[in-house]
Amino acid sequence: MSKETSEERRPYVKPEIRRVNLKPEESLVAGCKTLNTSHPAASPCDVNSCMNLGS
Amino acid sequence: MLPDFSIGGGETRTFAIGDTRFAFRCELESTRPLRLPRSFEPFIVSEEPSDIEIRVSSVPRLGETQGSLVYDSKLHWRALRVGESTIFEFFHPPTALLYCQTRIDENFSQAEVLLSETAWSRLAPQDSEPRDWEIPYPLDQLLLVPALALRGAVLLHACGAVVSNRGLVFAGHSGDGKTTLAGLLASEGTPLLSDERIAIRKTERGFVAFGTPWPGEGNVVSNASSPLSGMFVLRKATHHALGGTSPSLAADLLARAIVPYYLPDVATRILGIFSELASEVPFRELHFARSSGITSLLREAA
Repeated sequence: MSKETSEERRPYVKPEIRRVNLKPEESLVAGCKTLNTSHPAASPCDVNSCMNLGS
Repeated sequence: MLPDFSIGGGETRTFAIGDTRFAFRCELESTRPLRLPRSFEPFIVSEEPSDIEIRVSSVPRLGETQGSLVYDSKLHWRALRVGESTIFEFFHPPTALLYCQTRIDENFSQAEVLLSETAWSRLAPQDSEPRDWEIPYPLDQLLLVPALALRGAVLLHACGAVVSNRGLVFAGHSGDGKTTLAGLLASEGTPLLSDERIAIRKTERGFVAFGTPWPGEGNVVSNASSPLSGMFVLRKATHHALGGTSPSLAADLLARAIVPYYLPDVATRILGIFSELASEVPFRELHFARSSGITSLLREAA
């Protein structure tokens, strides 16, 4: 059995709750990147309906 | 935007992304080829067999799938489950016309992409021939992200660079400065992996960062990879500064990853990869400004 020394032990970090900003349309690639949209129509779609322009 | 390149009927092209091989097989019986973004071209490999095969063909018309809806983007695509398979359907937003239907197996190793000949003809501009066949955005990522995850890789909204022969990844939402940082690093002669999407995979040599074929506004595309020695959450600031290492930034980084939460098995795998990342790779914040000197600061972290 290995003996954990104080040097090996990570410093204790108190648990905390933080609010993390999640952008669902980016996590799920749900948006429409109009510059890259492949589509059978010449003009991809109603641009106003697209949520995710740019990076 | 980079021009496209084509795959003819009966042809197969295999791409290596995140050390995983994806074969696109064009089975379209048409004089019109299948167009793929030019950014995929550097990722073409000749090795067979592939890990994932994606067969693309056309049918006269498509009917909506009768399955259980697992996710609706409320824009132009949705995902359904039928048995063990996942189905992705794509609609033309103004007309609600179904123009692409894709079925992929539970292992994300065999996909069948069907394109509607009727939809392609009806949606062509007036007095013109139908456009070349294309893989609709973002179908390639919808297929590849789970396929990568089930093979131990994750895809992040991130810029990546090689500093002192080590890979550094800078994750950010849209507007957090990935393109700006990529421009700063490039102006200092620092090699880039991507300005928009980075794949990270655990290998026998530890975690490795890979360039991908999905560039951002800077059109940075590289098929290079580098051993990963640091991950950063981007913060805009008035001067450059490195934050201290903190595994608790894993949540911030996870929020910048592409995670198909509607596929619980895949999401669980991605969480597992992040758990390993947090224990093996230092996480930091990078505060950066529109000024020179960023590469020399990052050498401290590489």
